[in-house]
Amino acid sequence: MITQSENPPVIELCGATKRYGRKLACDAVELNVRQGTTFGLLGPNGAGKSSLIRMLMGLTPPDAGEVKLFGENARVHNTAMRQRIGYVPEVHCIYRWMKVEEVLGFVSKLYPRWDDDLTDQMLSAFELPLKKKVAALSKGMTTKLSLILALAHNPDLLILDEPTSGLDPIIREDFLESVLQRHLCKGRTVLFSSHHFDDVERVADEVGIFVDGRFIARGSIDELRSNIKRVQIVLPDGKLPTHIPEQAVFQRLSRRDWTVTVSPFSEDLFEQLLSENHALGGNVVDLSLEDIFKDVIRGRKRQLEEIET
Amino acid sequence: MIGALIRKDLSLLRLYLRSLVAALIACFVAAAILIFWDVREAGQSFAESRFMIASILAGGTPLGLIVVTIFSALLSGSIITLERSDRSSQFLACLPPTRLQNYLSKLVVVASAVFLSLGICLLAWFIAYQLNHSGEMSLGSSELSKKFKETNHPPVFAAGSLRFADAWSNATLYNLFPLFAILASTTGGSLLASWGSRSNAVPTIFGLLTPIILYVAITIPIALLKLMSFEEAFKLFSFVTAGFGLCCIVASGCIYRVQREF
Amino acid sequence: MLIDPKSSTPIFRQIADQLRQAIDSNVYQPGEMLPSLRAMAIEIRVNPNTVQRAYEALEREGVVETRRGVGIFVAAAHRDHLNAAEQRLSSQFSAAIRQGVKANLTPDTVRSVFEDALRQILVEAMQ
Repeated sequence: MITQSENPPVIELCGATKRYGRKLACDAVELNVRQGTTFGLLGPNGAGKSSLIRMLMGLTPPDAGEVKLFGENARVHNTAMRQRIGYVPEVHCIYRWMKVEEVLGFVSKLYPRWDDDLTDQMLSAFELPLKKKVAALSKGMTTKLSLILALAHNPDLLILDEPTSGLDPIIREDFLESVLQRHLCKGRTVLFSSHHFDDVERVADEVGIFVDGRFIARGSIDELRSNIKRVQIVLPDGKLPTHIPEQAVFQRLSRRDWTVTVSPFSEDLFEQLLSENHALGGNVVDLSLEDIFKDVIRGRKRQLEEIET
Repeated sequence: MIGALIRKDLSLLRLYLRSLVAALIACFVAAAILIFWDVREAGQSFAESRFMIASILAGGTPLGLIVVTIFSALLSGSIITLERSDRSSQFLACLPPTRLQNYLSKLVVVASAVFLSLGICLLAWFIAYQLNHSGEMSLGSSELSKKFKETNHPPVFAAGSLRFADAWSNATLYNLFPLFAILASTTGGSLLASWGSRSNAVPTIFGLLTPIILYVAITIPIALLKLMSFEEAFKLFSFVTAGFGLCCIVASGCIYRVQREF
Repeated sequence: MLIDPKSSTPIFRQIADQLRQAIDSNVYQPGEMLPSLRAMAIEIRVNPNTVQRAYEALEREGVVETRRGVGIFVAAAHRDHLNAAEQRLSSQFSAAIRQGVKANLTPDTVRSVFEDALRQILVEAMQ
């Protein structure tokens, strides 16, 4: 079994920068996603995730740095490269006046690896009405159509931008199952951004938390969860924490209860905090990905507020 | 792949293309009605049915040419803006075809529609000419004026149409060049103006105004200032208009290739 | 199979534990073939790499064995079957002990903590 670190990189960003007016959407971003990896792109809305994805798709070029796909510059987006990528955008712009069968007829001619059997399988699994116009489809059905368009040509890379936002849980499950069955389990690569942390935890190999144009945390989910933990310290009466450790990401004090989310976590650090503060008690809590995300974001927000004041 | 793109663009414009066909048919129907009314008013009738057909075809041709000009602006003004208005251009941009292929497909569709409908009008004109001169009797302009001189209400339209049919003998490529130039400028102007609007009305109007503005800017001042004869000024206008149209078509293509934000 | 992505137990561990329970309660008999990596991943909607880690863990623990080119099979009679209550207790112990090991407690410490807790509860039960 080839380990993923030996696989060739499918997505490479080297110092990729993108500016919109005064706002820095992507700030010298470094990213390396190897073949067979499922990468979860997490981040608050407006953090620049969509800009990153647009650069990958060749919709806008980077202002500085390089964006490479399959080892080639994505700036010169050519047909052959795009025929290896499947893309499900957040907002669907499929021709609204076309019927479902017309859309499939049109798009299928653009990809040499289009698989009609796979298309039929997905159509019946999703129960999409062929004769209906795209304008008459619900959001869930449009997303399913988008997924068929992305998967039916057997892409090497699948890019999903908040694919299940606004969809009911059943459709989300169907969507995930389809992606697993028809793509992931064939050893292919996925990059997806999502706010549904359950889905991310189930399916991603690696995640990156993207805030203000940069990755402020990145690694496998296990790495993140073992590095970033929440320490609860019970302080003696009337006492404040002696000092905030440099590993603190976010902290909150409520009466005697002081909780600090630290990165990187170590047992020594825990012992140190207990003894420094003459703690009455203490506890270490494992965080879910969502908790890590929230604490990291809140911590950074507070950091920025403190810098401004 | 280009085939699929062309089919898609044809489908995109299907409403307008059907209207074009209907409008062309309407031109000849209108000509027919006009000529029947005209001839009956004059108390005349056609010597042979071929003259009737010839005058209908020749009468419809100028109307058809006007329709073709209007639709050349409408089709080129719509083929880009319709995709921009509902952002389906972004969907297309994420698909495998290159921007150049997308644009070429649009040019092919618009050019085909314009050339085809132009060809139909010219064919009608040609047939009218042939019908007029195919028998022993032919109604050339001199015979026409002789025939209708005596009446009080000469059938103006019918006579004029037949005279127009005769004019086909002068319809060389050289003489028809201004027509092609105008069509090039309406097409080019509309395509270029598509980038400034999300509705298709603005580029269409701009495209239609292009040859008019150029005519007013070139022919009239030169003729008034007597820098050249009117014919020469008009020739200059034709060349400039044709060139301008082609430049607009190319410029619009460049913008299509380079567009970044959808 | 119910996976809780939010739980502190890693997903591959949850899969391994639940599979082990299924094996212990005879859902999968010794010598029977388990669902393929792919089928399992699709059914429970989890990354196939995670399922692989679960299968590898079970193999290390001697619960299953891989036969190359064929599939993954339940190891023949790896230990006595526990009844339902014993199984639940076993997985709860496993989870607790795992936490202790992760916190770098020595086996002796774990054992003494366990014995203290057991003693305490027996005392409470008698009162």
